[in-house]
Amino acid sequence: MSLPKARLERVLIKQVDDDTIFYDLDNHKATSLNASAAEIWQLSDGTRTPEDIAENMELTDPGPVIWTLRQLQKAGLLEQNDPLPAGPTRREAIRQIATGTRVAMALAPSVVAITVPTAAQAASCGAHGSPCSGASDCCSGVCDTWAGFCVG
Amino acid sequence: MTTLLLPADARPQTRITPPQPAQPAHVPHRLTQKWHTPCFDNLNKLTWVDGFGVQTHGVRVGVRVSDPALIPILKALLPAHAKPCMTNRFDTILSVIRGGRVAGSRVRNFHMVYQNHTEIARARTEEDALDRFQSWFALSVAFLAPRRVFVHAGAVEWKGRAILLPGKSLAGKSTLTAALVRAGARYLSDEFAVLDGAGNVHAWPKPISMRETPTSKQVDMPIEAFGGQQHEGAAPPGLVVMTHYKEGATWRPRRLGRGEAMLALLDNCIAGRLAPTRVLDALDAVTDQAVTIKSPRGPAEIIAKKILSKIEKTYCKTR
Repeated sequence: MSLPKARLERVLIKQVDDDTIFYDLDNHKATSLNASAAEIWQLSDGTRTPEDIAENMELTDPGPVIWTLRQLQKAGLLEQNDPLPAGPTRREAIRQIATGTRVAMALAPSVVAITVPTAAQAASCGAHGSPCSGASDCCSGVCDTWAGFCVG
Repeated sequence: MTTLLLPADARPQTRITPPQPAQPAHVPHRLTQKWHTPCFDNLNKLTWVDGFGVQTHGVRVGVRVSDPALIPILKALLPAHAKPCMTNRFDTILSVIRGGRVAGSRVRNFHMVYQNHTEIARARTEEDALDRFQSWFALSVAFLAPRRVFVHAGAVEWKGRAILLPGKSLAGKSTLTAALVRAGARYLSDEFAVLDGAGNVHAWPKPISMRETPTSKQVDMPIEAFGGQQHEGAAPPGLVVMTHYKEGATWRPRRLGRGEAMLALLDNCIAGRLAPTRVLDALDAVTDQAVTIKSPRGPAEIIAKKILSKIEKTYCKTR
């Protein structure tokens, strides 16, 4: 299994207070990492195992790191897609952090991601009976293209 | 038998192409290089008898029609801040073909509307086609504006600060916006919060569009019907409220961190994919100045008062 490595190409990065926003220019996904998750991403340089990263962050258990790495992989923020070792759920990860030795790690890693909508998806949609040309025009997602109006 | 002698340079013709109708020079027909496509050239081959150009928020929009009687009707649908524009290249062109009954026949043609080369309306009634024209005019400006970031949101101004209500359709933005206006806030928009690079919120003046039920059509109502006033100019952001109507919901707002707040706004940005750097910079400016809260809500009139009270406490606290 190759070691986790942060993806730097085709990604916009913006620091806002303690959070870091990543924008994936290829897949139009936006991800927000809190300070802990961002540190794990930064430490993922292709030379460290999850256990090394946990040790660096003074965690007794690599569970929270593995959880975070899985989220980063899902968000497309790691270079490789090799399956990561099985890890805890987020709730278990938080409990593990609470028993860790590093006092400063008060916040459990947090990874929030969205797929940025297209213009049509972000704008108003049509109710039943509104004129439409395609499914994305309708709130219901159903456009009777022959009749030309939204259904449902 | 008579032999027809042809000139030496005559070429045999297998297809006769009718001459292209000459378009009046003022009819929009050219897009900027960035937005031009070969398919648009096909649309240019149709007969466009009249048109005009307007500019708003830095976007040059061309409008052209198959029937000159449509011109005053379409101009009446445009936002007040759209000014006439003389240019030979547009950022987008909306083309409207009038349908209806064909004289002397039982055939009824659809009313068609195109944005550049894309069909955006194929309607049985002119009213529906004009509805789509109006929506797509706004959407085109929101998408293409070079120095503004449009967020799909209601927005009002209260005590010198803007309150943004981002949300998808049917979240209850217009209802809550109307309730805030009735409670004394000044109206910015129920469709778009228009952000500049410093995060200030500008108006997108339009009547409030209300639905009686989630499946009914929207009805435009002037702001005066709610006892309200249009806010002129821009307002710095004070509060962003992520909410949607849910029957029986308890109002229990939690404060979002800046990263989560930015994603919540980005999820409602029109040009997020087109200009992510510019959009993120504007949202950074908004979340730097404004508090973002999130909660489902019950009836709008009750929540409106709580929102105004919240921004007063926040505003007084930071000053």
